[in-house]
Amino acid sequence: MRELREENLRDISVGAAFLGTGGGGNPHIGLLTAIEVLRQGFHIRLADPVELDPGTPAAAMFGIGAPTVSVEKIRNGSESVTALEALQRHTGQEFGAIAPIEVGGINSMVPLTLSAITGLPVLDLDGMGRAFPEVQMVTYSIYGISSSPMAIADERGNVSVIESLNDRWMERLVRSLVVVKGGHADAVGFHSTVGEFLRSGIPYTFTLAEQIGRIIRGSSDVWGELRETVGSDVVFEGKISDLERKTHAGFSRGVATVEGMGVYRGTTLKVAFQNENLVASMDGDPIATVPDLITFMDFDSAKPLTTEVIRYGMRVRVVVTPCHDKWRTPEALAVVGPEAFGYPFAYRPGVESG
Amino acid sequence: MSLRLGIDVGGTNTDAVILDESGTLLAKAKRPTTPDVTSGIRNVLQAVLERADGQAIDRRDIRQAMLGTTHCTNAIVERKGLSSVAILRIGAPASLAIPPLADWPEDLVEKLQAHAEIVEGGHEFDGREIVPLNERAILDFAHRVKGVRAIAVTGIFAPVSDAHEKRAEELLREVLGEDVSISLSSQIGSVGLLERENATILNAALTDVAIRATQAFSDALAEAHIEAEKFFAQNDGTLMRLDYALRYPILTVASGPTNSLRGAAYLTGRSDAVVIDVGGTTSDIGVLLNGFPRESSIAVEIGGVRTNFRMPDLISMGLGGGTMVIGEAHRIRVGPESVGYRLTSESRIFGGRVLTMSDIAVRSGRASFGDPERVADVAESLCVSALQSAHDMLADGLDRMKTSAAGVPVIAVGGGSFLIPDEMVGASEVLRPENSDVANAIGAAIAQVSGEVDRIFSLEQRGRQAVLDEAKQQAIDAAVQAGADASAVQIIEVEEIPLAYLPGNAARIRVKAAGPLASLTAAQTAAGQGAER
Repeated sequence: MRELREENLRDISVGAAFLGTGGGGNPHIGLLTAIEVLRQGFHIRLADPVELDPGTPAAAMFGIGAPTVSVEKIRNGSESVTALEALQRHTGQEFGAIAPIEVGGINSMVPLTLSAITGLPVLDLDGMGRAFPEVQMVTYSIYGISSSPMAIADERGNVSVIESLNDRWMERLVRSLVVVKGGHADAVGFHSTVGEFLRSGIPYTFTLAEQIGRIIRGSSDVWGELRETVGSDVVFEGKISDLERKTHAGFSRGVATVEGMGVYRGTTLKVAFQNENLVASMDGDPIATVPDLITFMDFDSAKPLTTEVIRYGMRVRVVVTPCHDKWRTPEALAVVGPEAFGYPFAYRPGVESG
Repeated sequence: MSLRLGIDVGGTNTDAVILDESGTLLAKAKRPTTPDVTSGIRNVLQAVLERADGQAIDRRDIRQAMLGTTHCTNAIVERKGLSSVAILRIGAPASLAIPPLADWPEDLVEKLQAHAEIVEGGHEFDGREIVPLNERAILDFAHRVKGVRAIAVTGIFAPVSDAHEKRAEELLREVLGEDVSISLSSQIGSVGLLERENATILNAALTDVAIRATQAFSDALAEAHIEAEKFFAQNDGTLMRLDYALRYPILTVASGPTNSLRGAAYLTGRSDAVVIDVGGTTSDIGVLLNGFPRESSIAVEIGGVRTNFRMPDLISMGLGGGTMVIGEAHRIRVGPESVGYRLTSESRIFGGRVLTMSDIAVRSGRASFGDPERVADVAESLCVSALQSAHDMLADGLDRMKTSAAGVPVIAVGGGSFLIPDEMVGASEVLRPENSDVANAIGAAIAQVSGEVDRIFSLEQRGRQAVLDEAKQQAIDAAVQAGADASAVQIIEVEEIPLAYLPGNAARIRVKAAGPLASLTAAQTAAGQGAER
């Protein structure tokens, strides 16, 4: 168990942008929120899950909705507490720890704020090791923790508890409820135990995000150290030469085209995204696909770039990071592999995991 | 005869031009910018009118005067002359997690003596109320802040619905009367609460700076016996009237680079090109699309404060006429150090000891100023290496800003534009317009009037096309209301960003329309209806 300070949070937020693979929302707002609770004298504790009693009841907390809304209608700060209390009433359990669901993007920060306010430790793990858009795209779900019942609270104090048939139904029900609540809400679900989260989740991803953030913010050899730490490979260097974006059923879909520079001159990389980057193809052949992580980084500053800020003429490095082994099983790939996103080919590892 | 006067206050020089109805340049002048800004304006005005007198131009014919100035930018950066501000956010119970001024530099917060409160109210992304506006709390706030100079009001999703902000303004006026200045965020920025709130607070803090700047402008014109309609240049290449500039001074921040780009477009007649402005210390590279600067999509910091202003997308490189050249031919380094404004005393051609890019240009015959004898000893191979380095830097910058591999027209402007070669990698041609030394002032003089819409629209019920048409009409109406000629207003930008992770097909749509100023009489009619950005 260790206490996170402002500097740790800044590192985690940069690492979270990297692991967000273009989506997940901008962690900046979440970072300011977390820093604010620290300034108010609260403490954020990150727990090594093996140090806790595996039988400790725990639940997953995350924000759900449109990042565009969350940068305008900023949180009250108590939404997640309201949701947590409602789920405790509904299940009759007292939770002893909080499990993050998504280390990529803004959802890396919100469980930390809940930890500060409630005094509960946050487990150093998550259900993605990256960012994904939907409730069923979580290793907790794939390996047997049901998202139901789930409590969803807004800033006014409205809270709903939903029991669903399965996680796909949960996704549909919650998503429509979020629109009524104003486009953004906090959710607590997947109630289980610390031991179960450890079994089904991806371990030590917050420590990892922190390491990645520290490398990006301060290393003199960002690319070398990223390779060493998370097995990332720079697969392409070039300039954004075209950007197609269209909206479809609430998702920002599109393709970014990168014209090669340096040793990649004369070749073209296309990266298809649906909020997160899904598939990278070189001259028509897929070279990396979900669930591996495909991240655009600024060529010079190494800053991870979200889909919203990418624009023509930017010079980028495209970095592929192997996903965790828990994503490489047939049951996981059925949910988050390229076929699940409508592509006619199967997952093949872009970078061999070390 | 109806003439236009354009003045641009830059970091080094203050420029002025007079254009006739057809846009022909009749007179120009350049004077050093002064620390108080105002005397620089007076000096340049006097100089340009002397030129005009020589050509028998009647100053009574000057009907419109446009000023692009750094008054506001300087005040924020130097923390000088700022007004005390009370901050009202309308949004509780939402937004309490991050209070106003959360990530501001401390010295600036102290200067504003800011008192901040968050009251209940605000809107959802679709315009519904989050909760009803707490009017009682606003009246209490007003009593508590009595005596404050300015108030910044920011409501959640005010760009979608400004109803709560408008009502708050009425309530504040009930208690505080007309003496207090009130800034509404809906008039200033787009979606992104903290960045818009920051810009609104800065705007309120500029209340007295704006009064002094407009007064200085008016006085300078009055002293010169010019009775013209007065405008300030905004950072998007369009104009606002004085009464509007008094209320929304923050919109004048960084109008300089925009004016430079627009002036370059005007001087060459090109609407799509890359503009390289080489000054004394830096080269700024920007892109013209349809005659307007391509805008940056990244949060912009002003004086350490994060805002979401639309700024021209510029890259700045450490290369200018004063850039130092260090080392020998085979191991040469160009910059980034520069002698800057001390060029005329420290560079070799002016009798100094520092070898600069200006010396290199004079030695190799690219430019002729100063005393060429003083650089006769500089080796030719060194000149070749230095010019090659400069070319490589500029070509690299050009490549970053281009959007296609094909060559693009390059417009070379600025006092150091002799560093841009006629043949440049990535350029289809290099244009060197006459009078490019006053491109900024020309950009101010030819600025148009715009109207903008930036909101979240639901595409579900009426369909995308109907919504886009409505947004375009709103932008056109806003431009006409601000004084644009209704028959010549054009849509200059349409941007559509879907709201990710949200079903129901909502999208943020931003449309900007702009047109030339309507004839004077029409403009006065529009002024009577109140100016809109």
